Amino acid sequence: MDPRHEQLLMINRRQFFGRAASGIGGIALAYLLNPRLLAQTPGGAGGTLGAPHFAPTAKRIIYLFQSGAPSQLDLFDYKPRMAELFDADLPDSVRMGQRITTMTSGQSRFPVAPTMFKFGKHGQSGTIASELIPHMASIVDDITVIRTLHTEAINHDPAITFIQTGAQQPGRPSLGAWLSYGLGTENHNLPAFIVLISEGSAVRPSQALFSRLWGTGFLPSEHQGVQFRSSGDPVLYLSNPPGIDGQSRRSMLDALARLNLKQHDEFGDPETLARIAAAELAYRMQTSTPELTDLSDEPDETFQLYGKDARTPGTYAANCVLARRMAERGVRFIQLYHRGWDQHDNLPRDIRLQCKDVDQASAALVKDLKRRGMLDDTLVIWGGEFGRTIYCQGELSKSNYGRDHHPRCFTIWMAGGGIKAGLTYGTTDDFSYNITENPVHVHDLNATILRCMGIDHERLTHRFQGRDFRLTDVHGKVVRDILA
Amino acid sequence: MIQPPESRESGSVASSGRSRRRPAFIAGVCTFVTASAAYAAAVDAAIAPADLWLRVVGRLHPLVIHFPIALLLTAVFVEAFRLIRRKPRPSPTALTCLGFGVAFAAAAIATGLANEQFESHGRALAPAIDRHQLLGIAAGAIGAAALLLGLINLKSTRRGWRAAYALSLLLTAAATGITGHLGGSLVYGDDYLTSLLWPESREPNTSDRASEPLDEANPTSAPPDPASDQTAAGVFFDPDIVAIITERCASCHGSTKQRGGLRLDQYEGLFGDDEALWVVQPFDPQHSEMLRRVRLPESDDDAMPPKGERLSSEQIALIEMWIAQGAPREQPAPQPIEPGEDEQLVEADEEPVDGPAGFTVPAPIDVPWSEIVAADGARLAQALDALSERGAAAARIQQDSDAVDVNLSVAGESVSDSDLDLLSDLRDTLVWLNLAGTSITDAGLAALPSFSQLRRLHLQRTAVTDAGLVSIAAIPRLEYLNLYGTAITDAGLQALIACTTLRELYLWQTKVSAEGVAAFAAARPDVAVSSPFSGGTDQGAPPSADEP
Repeated sequence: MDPRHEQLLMINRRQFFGRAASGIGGIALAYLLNPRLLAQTPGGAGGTLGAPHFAPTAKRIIYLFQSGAPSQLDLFDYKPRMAELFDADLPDSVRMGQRITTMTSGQSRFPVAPTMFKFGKHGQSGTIASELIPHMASIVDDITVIRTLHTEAINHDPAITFIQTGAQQPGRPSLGAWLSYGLGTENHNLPAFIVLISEGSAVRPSQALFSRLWGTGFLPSEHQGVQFRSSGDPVLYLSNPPGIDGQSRRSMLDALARLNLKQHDEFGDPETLARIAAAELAYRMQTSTPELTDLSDEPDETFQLYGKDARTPGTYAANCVLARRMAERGVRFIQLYHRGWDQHDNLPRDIRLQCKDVDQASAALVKDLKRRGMLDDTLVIWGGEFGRTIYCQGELSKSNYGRDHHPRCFTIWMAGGGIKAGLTYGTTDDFSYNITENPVHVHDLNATILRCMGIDHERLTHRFQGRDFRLTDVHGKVVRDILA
Repeated sequence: MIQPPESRESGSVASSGRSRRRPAFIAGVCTFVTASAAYAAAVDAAIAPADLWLRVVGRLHPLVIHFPIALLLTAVFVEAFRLIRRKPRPSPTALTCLGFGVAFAAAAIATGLANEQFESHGRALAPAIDRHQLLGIAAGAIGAAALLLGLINLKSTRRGWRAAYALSLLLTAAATGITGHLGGSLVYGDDYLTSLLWPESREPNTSDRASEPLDEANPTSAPPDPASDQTAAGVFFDPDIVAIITERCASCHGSTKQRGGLRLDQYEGLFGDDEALWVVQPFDPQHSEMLRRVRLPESDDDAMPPKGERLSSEQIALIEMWIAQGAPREQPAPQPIEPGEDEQLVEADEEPVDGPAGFTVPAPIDVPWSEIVAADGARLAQALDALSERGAAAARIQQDSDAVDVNLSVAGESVSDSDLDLLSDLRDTLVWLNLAGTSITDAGLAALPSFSQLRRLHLQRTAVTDAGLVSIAAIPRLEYLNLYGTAITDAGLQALIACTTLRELYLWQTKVSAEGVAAFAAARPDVAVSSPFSGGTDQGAPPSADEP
């Protein structure tokens, strides 16, 4: 650069003091006029919608995500005719040349592996469920079982990314982030979107999860999910280090916020505001979180209901109790992930272990919410990212088999929050391979979830890189048949 | 008393005295004038925000006072010694000391007055401070008089002047000594000297002079707002906070000592005239000095209590809760619900939508949300803002409707009956109300029948009792009622039979019996009751609390 030009850009002593004085003075003045300026969360409280599009039937969601894809064939989608077809080849007329994963595409044949578990009709609704899930079978009159969900992805990462964000490619905001963005938070002392992860008991190693699954993509960062850890401090670095008390922390944050605001004035990056909001929320969470995560005030009945696992932090059962406590405190979207459902081999062994992890606690959560009168406005969703194949992966015997990924139909259940009770929705063919009636696409599911929360999925959008984005992209139909 | 040999020396003494006294005199006058000006400025500046300097000057008081005390008393002792030796003339040393002493006394007075302006001291200490102040000024004035008389005595040999000088010195000594003692008592407590010798003087009966004139005698000293609020929450100054204070604070901030001018064992002691100096800021734990001090780590110089263990986390939590609840003094007397009260409330409302007996007219339940419109949109918006400010989640339930959903539950236990006033502009628009886990009581619920559109009411985990259900039954359009984890009994259920619009009722973890639920179900088969005794798939072990 021309040194003379550079000289012009330099700031001299007089200018420096002049600017510093007016800058600091301006901040001080603004602070005096409105002390909440620096303490307030910028844009964190209210959602962009102001009010929902429709009166919501659900005010919050507990999403019991079963990561790895549970086998619909061994839990809910009863196919009695398959017993006769044990080890028979899957007819080409069923598969119709549809793609399968590279894990089984090399197999010389696709033998039908009927479930080895017994099924029964339960409740007044007569909903069918297998012997693996006796507790969930006891709540069938409160839930809707959807047997015809289908997805576009065939492997875990794109499928879970798709069901959580509406796109197979990473980078879009997740469902919880959209809800936080649209509706804001109810409880200012807790995040609107909290994530709890538990490890499955299955012997086969679990699939990985990524924090982008609860990320915000292009939405402001304060809407991203906050993951609570299963052991130690639920949120890292939340407690004050020795020698720092609340007052010092407060003044440190105030000073930091002033610096950040200066930075924001200079560069105008909204992420700077998100940073301030995050620090402020963390400060409020210093008091709200310990109270939330301390289960010592739960009566023994809670642990009888959810099972004794609930006393062990980090288990699915304990996370279910936490989820209920978060729901009581107004957390809008509570995302649980339970890992370990990817039963490519040794399915009978591992699915038993997995069901033991989740069966009682999932049912207990619904019962507990119902007793507390909260099932009316809490939507509970239970399910994975896709289904599993009728044909066997690996060795097939009467008592052991494995199942590959199957995106063309799978089963989830939903309860409360404006969803019908005691309904079984959709039918699949005899092989649980293709849908014969009432298909529900992942976009339809997400549109329906948003509808329960009072949102028109076509009208919750965010403009980014020149176009309006939404959770359901350009798809999605609300499944009115399952709405109460 | 006049000795001839001394009088011979008088000329030389006088001349040397004059040459020495002049600078002393000038210094005295100059300092007095400067200090007076500083004080005048201090008083003026008390209104202005930035009077850091004067505060600093004020804090020099404990330093400055040592000079006049030492100098004035030295002058007195020198003159007393001369008196014994029967010397007739004032000593130049004594006069010099007096001169400087008076000058420093002026400075001490000025700094003391400035200090009083700016430093926090409880009401309890005000009389003691007044005495100290008055005597201090008197000591300075008498010292000045003594200086004057001493100067006169250099010239005159008359007995009268001589006696007056001696007397003024005596008074100076007395006033200085007593002022000093009073000042010490302000800092160390009244019994600082005597407590070791006569420990029984700590008995509460022998309460010191400083605390006598305040107490109940001064009604204005109580903070008006927080105390009069009907804070029905759990923590109160008496007995919860007083217990902690008596145990850990009162030895320095109690009846016998008020370190730093602070007395904590009496409610009035917490709230002086200057609100900014209150160590307890009602509703604002964040800015309450008391809480900050007890939370500081032991190593911090400001940590309280300075000796012994830190307060337990439970005690600190209790104090915080108490402050957050507005630092209420004591539990307000329970307010019985008068039978006619509901009607009055509804009548007081300008447009009784369904009248006092609203529940006798079955209200049309299916009013479309879009038909619920606020009479005054601006007031609705204001009310929503105020509720958000209070920590509630408050919003319209959908975009084209004024029907409002308010969740005060997220603000937790700090929500009390008085917060329900925030709802007063929502009488014709509030449709859902969540008060779960708040500190509301039956008294607060008495206002709810005037909410003509209220459909859903969450009262789980509150202190609502059967008495409160009488008013709840009169809510004209109530469809959903959640009483999970409350103390209601069969009697309350009986009252709810009258609520004809009710469709859903939640009774787990209450004191209702199987018979009570059965009787209710028989009278109201149209209500879906959720309880350990009702049918359905959620049958489980009945909670132990229900066992008779």
